Parts: sequence; C-alpha cells; structure tokens
Amino acid sequence: MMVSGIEVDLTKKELALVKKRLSRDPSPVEAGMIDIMWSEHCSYKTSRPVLKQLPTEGKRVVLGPGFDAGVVDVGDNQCIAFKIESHNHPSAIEPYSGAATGVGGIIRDVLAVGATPIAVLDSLCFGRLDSEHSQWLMNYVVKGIADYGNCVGIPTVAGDTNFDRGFETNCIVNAACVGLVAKDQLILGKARDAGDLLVLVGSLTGRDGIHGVTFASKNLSEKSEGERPAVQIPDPFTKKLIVDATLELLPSGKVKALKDFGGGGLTCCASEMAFKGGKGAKINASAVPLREKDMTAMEIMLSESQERMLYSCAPKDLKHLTNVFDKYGLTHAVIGSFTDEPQFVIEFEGRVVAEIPVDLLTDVPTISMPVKVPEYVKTLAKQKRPPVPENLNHVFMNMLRSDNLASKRWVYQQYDHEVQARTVLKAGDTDAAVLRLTEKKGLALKTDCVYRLSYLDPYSGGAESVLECARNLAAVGAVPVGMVDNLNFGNPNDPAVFWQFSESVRGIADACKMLQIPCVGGNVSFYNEDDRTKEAIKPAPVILLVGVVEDMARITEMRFRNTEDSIVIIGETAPELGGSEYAHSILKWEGGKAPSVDLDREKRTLSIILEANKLRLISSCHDVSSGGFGLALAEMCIRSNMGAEVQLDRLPSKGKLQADEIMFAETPGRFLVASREPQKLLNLAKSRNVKAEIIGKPVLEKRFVLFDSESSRKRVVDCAVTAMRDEFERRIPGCMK
Amino acid sequence: MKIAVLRFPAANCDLDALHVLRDVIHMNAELVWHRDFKESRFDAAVLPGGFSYGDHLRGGVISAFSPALKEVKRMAKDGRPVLGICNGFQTLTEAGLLPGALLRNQSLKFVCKWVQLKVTTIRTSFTRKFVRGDVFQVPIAHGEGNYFIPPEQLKELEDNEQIVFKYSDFKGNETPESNPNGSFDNIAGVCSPEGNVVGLMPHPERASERILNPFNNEKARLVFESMKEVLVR
Amino acid sequence: MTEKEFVAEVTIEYKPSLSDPEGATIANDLMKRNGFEHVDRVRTAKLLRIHLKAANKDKAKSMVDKMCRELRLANPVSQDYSVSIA
Repeated sequence: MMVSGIEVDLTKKELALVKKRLSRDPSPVEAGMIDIMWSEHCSYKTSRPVLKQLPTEGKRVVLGPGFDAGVVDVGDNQCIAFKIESHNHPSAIEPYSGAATGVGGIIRDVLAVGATPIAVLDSLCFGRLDSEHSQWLMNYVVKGIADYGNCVGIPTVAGDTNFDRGFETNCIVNAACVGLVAKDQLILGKARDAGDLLVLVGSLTGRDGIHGVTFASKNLSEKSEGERPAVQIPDPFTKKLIVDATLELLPSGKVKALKDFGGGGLTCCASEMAFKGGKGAKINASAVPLREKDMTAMEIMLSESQERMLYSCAPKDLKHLTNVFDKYGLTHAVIGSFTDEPQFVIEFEGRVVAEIPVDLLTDVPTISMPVKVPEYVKTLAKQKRPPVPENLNHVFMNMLRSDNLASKRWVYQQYDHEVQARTVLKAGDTDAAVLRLTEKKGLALKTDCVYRLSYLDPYSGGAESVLECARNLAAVGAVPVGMVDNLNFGNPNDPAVFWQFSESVRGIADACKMLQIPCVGGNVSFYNEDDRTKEAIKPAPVILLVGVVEDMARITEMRFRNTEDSIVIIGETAPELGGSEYAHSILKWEGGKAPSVDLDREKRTLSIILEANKLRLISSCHDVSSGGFGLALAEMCIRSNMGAEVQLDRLPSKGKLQADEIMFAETPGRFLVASREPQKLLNLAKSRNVKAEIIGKPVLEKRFVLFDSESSRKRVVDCAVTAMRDEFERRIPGCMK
Repeated sequence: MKIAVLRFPAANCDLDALHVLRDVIHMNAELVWHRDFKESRFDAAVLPGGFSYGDHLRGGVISAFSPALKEVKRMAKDGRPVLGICNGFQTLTEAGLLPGALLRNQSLKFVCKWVQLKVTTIRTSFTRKFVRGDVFQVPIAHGEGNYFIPPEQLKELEDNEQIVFKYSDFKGNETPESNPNGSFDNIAGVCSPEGNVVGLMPHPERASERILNPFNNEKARLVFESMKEVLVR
Repeated sequence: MTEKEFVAEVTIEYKPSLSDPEGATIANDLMKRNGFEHVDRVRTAKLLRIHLKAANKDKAKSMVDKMCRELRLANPVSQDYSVSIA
C-alpha cells in the first residue's frame, strides 16, 4: 500500500490507527519510519502475545527481555550478558557477509550493555550435505563467521550444525554472543536526562539494507537475488576499534546511555532509547556522517549500515568521549539530543521532516493470529515403523557417517576458540564449552535446536531443545542460570505454522519453569520458507543455555579414564523412533510417534547427575541425544581412543524393544556415566525414582562391542574404534573437498 | 624490569600476553598504545597476535609502519629481547627485523588447533630454558601462517642457527602430517642473527597454564621464563 | 580457422554503493598517516589475468563475459566486473 508516496507494509487497520493518532496523514519520512518500526521484525506484533508465556524472572536476573542483551548474576560481582539473533535471509542470498554481519550485530548488542564480549556461538541449519547448494552455503557461512569472530578476537566456542532437506534454500544462521560485565558497570540503552547529547560513532552511513528488515519479513523469491543488496560488507576491524574504545570509556561513568544500531537503523535505535527513558528525541539527519552523496532523510533514518553505535552523554563530557574516539580513529558526530517532550523530531537541511509521538514508533499494537493443527501431525504419528534392518553393524557405521552425527571438526577448526585465554573445555570434543571466570568458577555454554522432533510434536521439540542444553551442561558439571532463544519458523499467516510456533513456545516455557531457568531475551525469525514450494522449514527453536560450574576441578568430560570404571545408564529407553536421526537417515522414515517429555522426571535426572558430580562419583559423563544410546557410547570411545563392552539387555526399557530401538531411540533424559562406584550411583538414581543400570565397562582393547545379552553373547555390533573414528571424522571434510 | 606489550589498533591477543607475563610469570608488564611506545622505558617488548588493522592489505604490514617499530628496531639493535607472536611475527617480518614472509595457509582455511612444537635452538632469548630437541604443545590459530623463505636464504638461516621452532610429531619428527599450514621446512618460528628477536606463529601465551592446556602441562611457559632469565641476569 | 592468443584482464570490485573496509584502512591508516595526505580514497579490487585462445577479440571478450556471469567470477549481489582484452 502507498502512503504519502511511500510503499508500506501496513494493514488497513494499522494505517487507520496511525492516522487517528496523528490526526493527519504521515509525512513521507514518518511513513517510512512507521513502516519499519511496525514490521514484524522490529515490533514482534504477532509473537509478543505468545512469548508472554516464557518465565523471565529469577533471583539471578539483572536484565530481562526488552534490552539489548539479557543479564544474569553469577556471583563475585560478575554478570553474564548474552543474546542471540538470526541472519537467515541475508545468509541465504550472500552467505559470507550475511553470516559475518550477523556475528557483528550480536556482538554490538552485548557491548551495548557494557559487557566485554567473551564468546560467540553459532547455530546453523543447511540442506542435505550432499547438495552442492548446501555445501556452498555452509562453506561461506562458516567462513563468514570465522573471519569475523577471529578478527575481532572473540572465540567461537560452541554451536551446532544441522542438515535437513527443508533448509535447502532457507538456511538457519543464528549467532549468539556472551559477555562479561561487573555488576556496577552495567549500562542501559535508556535516555537519562533531557539535553543529553546523542553521539553516533563508527562506520559511515550508506544506503545499506534499506528495508533490510522488511526483507527479513518477506519470503525469499527469485527476485531477491537481483534486488538491491540488503546485505552489508563485514568490517570486524572497525568493530574491534569500537569494542576497545567503548570498554576504555565506560569506567569513566561519562557514557550515560549506549545502544547499537540494528534492524530499523537510526530510527529504531534512537526511538527505543528515548522511549525507555520516558523522553523524546530531536535528530538532525544532516549531521550523520555519510558514505554516499545525496542521501534523503528517509534513507538516512532507515539505513542499516553496520558498525555504528549511539552514545549519550552530558554536553560537558563530550570532549572526553571524542578524545577516545579520535585515539582509535573512529568517525563520530553529534546528531541530536534527548528532550523532555516525548516527540520524535527529525530535521533535515534545516527543515522538520518528521514529528511524531515516540510511542507511535515503539508501542505497536499486537495482532492475534489464528492457529490450526496441521493434518500431517496425526497422519505421521499413526504410521507403523519399517522393519528392523538386517545388518546392524553396517547400520551402526552408517549412523556414524550420517550428516548430523558426523564430526563437525571441519566447522569448528576454522574458529579461533582459544583467544582471550579463557577456554577450559573446548567444545567439539565435549558436551559444552567451559570458560574460566575466576580461579575456581567456570561458565558453561551450549546451543541446541531440536527440529525433527519439533516437526512431529512442536511442544515436545521446544521443551526438548531446552532440556538437551540442560543435559549437556549437567554432563560437564554445570547448573543452568539463564536462557535466550531464537525461534525460526515459517510464515505466521499460515495457521499451521502459528500453531507450531505457539506450541513450541509453550514447550520451552514449561521446560524453563520446571527447571527454574529464566528467559532473559530472544529473537523471532518468521517467514522461513521457500517461495517456490511454499513449504515452511521444520520448526527450528534454537536455545542458548548459560550455566555455572562452581568448581572447575570437578568438571567432567565424556572421555573414558580407566578400565576399573563401570558404565551406567541413567534413564530408561522407550520404543519411540519418531523424530530420531536413525529414522531419518537409515529407515528414511519421517513419521512415527515422537518421544514425549516428562518434565518432572527430567528435573530429577538432572539432579542425579549434579549430585553425583558433587559426590565425585563420576569419572566420565555424556548425555544421550541424537543417535541414541549407541552413538553416545560410540562418541565416548572415539574421544578416549578406548573400546567398550556393553550388554543391550541390561538397559532399562519400557516394554520389549527391538535391537535397533535400544540402540538408536532418542528417548529424552538419559545419561551414560562411567563410575568407580556404580552402586552408589544406582542408589542415588533409585532415591530419585529414576531407572538406572550397570550395562558394561570401558576396555583397553580398541573394540566397540554390544552384546545382546549375557547368556547368548551374540555380538549385535562389533567394530574397531579406529574404523569408527575414521567414518565419524571423514564425512564432512570428504563432502566439502 | 619492565616489559612492554604493544597494542596496535584492533589486535586482540594483547590482554592474553599481558595476563601471562603479569599473573603467571610474575613480571612487571605494561600494555602500551603503539603510538605512545618509547623504547627507553622498557627492557623487552612483546608484539602480540591478533588482526591488527584487520589484516588489511597483508597481515602485519600496516603495523610495520607504526612509529612503534622504529623504537622496536632500536631495542633490537641494543640486544634487548623482542618477541613477536602470530600477527606480531608477521609485523616483524614486514618491518625487516626477521627474515622470510608469512603466506596464506596451504589449505586456504583458518586453522585453530593444538600442535607439537620442537625447539631447534636454545641460544635465543626465548628458548634458553629449553633443552635442544624439546617438544611441547601449543595452539595455533591463523589463516596466514605458511612460512616462506626463498630457498637460497634457507641455508643462511640454517648456518646462523636462526630457525627456532619447527612443527613436529610428539616424538620430534618433522613430518608433513604435523605441518598444519604448509610452512617451508616445517618452520614455525625464527630469530634474528643475534638471537634476541624471535617470532613464532603458535601462541605460547595460551598454553602456559595447566587449566587451559588439554595436555595438562605448562611447558610453553618456558618461552617467557627464558626471557625472564635473560632480563634478571 | 586459426585461433589467436589473447590476455583478458577481469577486474572485480565491490559495487560503488557498498563500503570497502580494506580500501578505507589502506587509505586512512597506511597512506594518509604516513605522509601521503593527498590520497582521497582507495577501492580494492581483484585482478584475474586470463590467457585464452579465440578466433578474434570480440569472441574472446564474449567468452570472458560469459565466464564472469555463469561462473560467478563476480558475485552479482555485491560486485561489479569489467573486462579488457589485449
């Protein structure tokens, strides 16, 4: 629809509301600004009512959702700031700069609360690995993240990479940043006093990404590739200078407010800052340092040029700030000030081109979306499982080399995960990354995205995404303290998609409530689908969980330590193959009943692991997830270069299970623990009403043997660990040559 | 005794180097902005790793033109210890203080992993506490660590004992498999003819504390302990 | 028909409206700071020198043009290219 000569994406109802509020038609600049701020990406108008379910409070919460980053207190005057965001659509078009600028943007968010960025994580989904297009995307996405993170000197310490047909043309690129800040050094993006100056610092403003936010709210199409590039050239050098300058300035106390530029450019940044402080703002668009000639006021207000931050200070302190910016060679300009009157006023070349109430930009009415359970849910759940394959040894090797289970070393070896000298547990080889915070205390980090299960049962998938992360944290001895989520879904106007979204959030909320994990922020990315096939991606709820290891001397890993240990499985296995990697890769089956989630049992199981850690009962620990028990045990052997002998009939199970179900079902809430004192572990599990059993032991001989029972000693699987490692390590480098 | 850790625009391993010198080796170390660096105040200098100036044009080339390098040259001429780590090594080669050049990794990819490093001479200010042939573990993290020296100059390096570190297996064999980036002759680090200026691509400051070292040792510390011994003498 | 030898120079650079951080750093931090203040700006480019055989100059140019487009020697989203034949 056209308003005052500008193409806007508002509904008739929304436009009527705007006109009523202004008592007139908006000017062209006003129309452009409202269009951006009322877009789904900036306003979250359809998702906010659903996101309300998420628990956001807790005794550790310092800053909840709604700020540049969420912040939790981890003791010793230290706080952790973290956030996650998506750059799916730009990455699908131009993977290198799309992914790189995604990392750039999320670093700025964490810096904006005054935190020193200490880690980056990435959660990626591509199409099938054997597709050339997916290989191209992955190659450049990983390079983009690597080049940016490595250059800025922030270690990319963990993440996950997933492959599924549904992500072929609409990849998922979610980047998260974690920062460290002293409690008394926190700064907010909130206007403090009228008269405070607004200082724009960083790169010059060009015509980058104008309507990039609207681009993210639209589906991709053939036209997209040729369209005016809504992608930007990454500049980590300038970013690092901004980080250094900001961290040098903050202790002075002279920076009164700070915010980074993201979607919606200067309009979003300045209006949100003003609104949060109950103030207005007067902006002189002509004062913005430009890269291009003849930019219009609207272009200046909506540009999404990277590497810019907005500082606010008292006029008397301006020189102090600009001295530091000059030292680092950063461009800066005073572009306006806060006002008492809550109006957003834009001047350009001496004239007022926009003058609207601030809250008209920031207080966008929500929209209630209809939901409908899609047909496929019932159909797929009723499907009967295919027959058990003949040669399970062969199947097992195929599992090791399947896209999602194979080693991701090709990815993480391109990331500098050691810079800043904090990385104690290097992820890739472990369940979660651990960074040191003090001599004793560590910070554990993990991301995960359970999309296959989410497709069959979005509620369970959402919950499981949280639980997966919590299990990974527990496996290294960490207690979760906070969560942010990045929810990637299809077109919200499709009631089936909105049903998936609502159910997913309900699952995430319930899991967080049960485990008492507050959600301190998040991002929603809609419109992830292919314009040609109209098929939405599988629901992809990405969770980043942050945890604390109180004593790093008690960190546990998955490697076996010695042959005196016994291997114990905590948790029982059920015959549910729905949504499993095994069903997908080997049985080529997308249906079946998805495992249901028992939140209370999950909570009890986590408590067993954490208690066992405290009592020093654990030699090695690994959670059981993708690929089921078989793959979890395999990983333990591969990482330790030792063998194992296990009896499948000893695993506690719900009913009678087929051999492949025992090996590959992904029943939630299970752990493999190697212990010198297995009986104590069993007693602990029993006291918490969770099934557990001794199932075997690690052996020096590098052979991986699964017997079906003690009596028959039939070898269901019998492989050399070196052969297993080769399959596991070779898959991705082999494809990417 | 005071050591300068030079800070170039957007280099990022300076704080790691400072931490090791101060908190692990217990020396008096100071972070110095490159334009403020005056050699007369310091007994040694460390040029840390990172992507100074974004690695634009070539890694280390813009830093090489900083006035700080004139000061570093004076220090070097004077016999004081100067260490260049990763990007710092690149800067020292671009500034002419060390021979050779660092090219793009043969794999064309950035590589971050732990390697085995063999000490091939102990006459330098940073290796005197090792035993010749010692092998220790240290991480690398670079995209341009492929050491190149024109073949005719290699003999000179060997004759002068200017090759300090080489990539090897854990037994000390210089195998192709142990070479992570295609460096000529597995060379990971070199020194000036006098031996007081050393440059290496791997990061000893990331391996000097047991808790960060997956091999559970601190042998890389000896790089800095050697410098300490030289200064204290 | 005899084929002649040609050398095509393909210059690939970022579209003018996009920022070029490397060019900006070389201009500001290396050139201007080291006594060459008259430098206005620098834009970086990649040069491919393609040695090829073709019947004539026009055919050579059209072959190179085709490669540039079909093989994405320049990324159409963010880069422009120009071809000159000697």
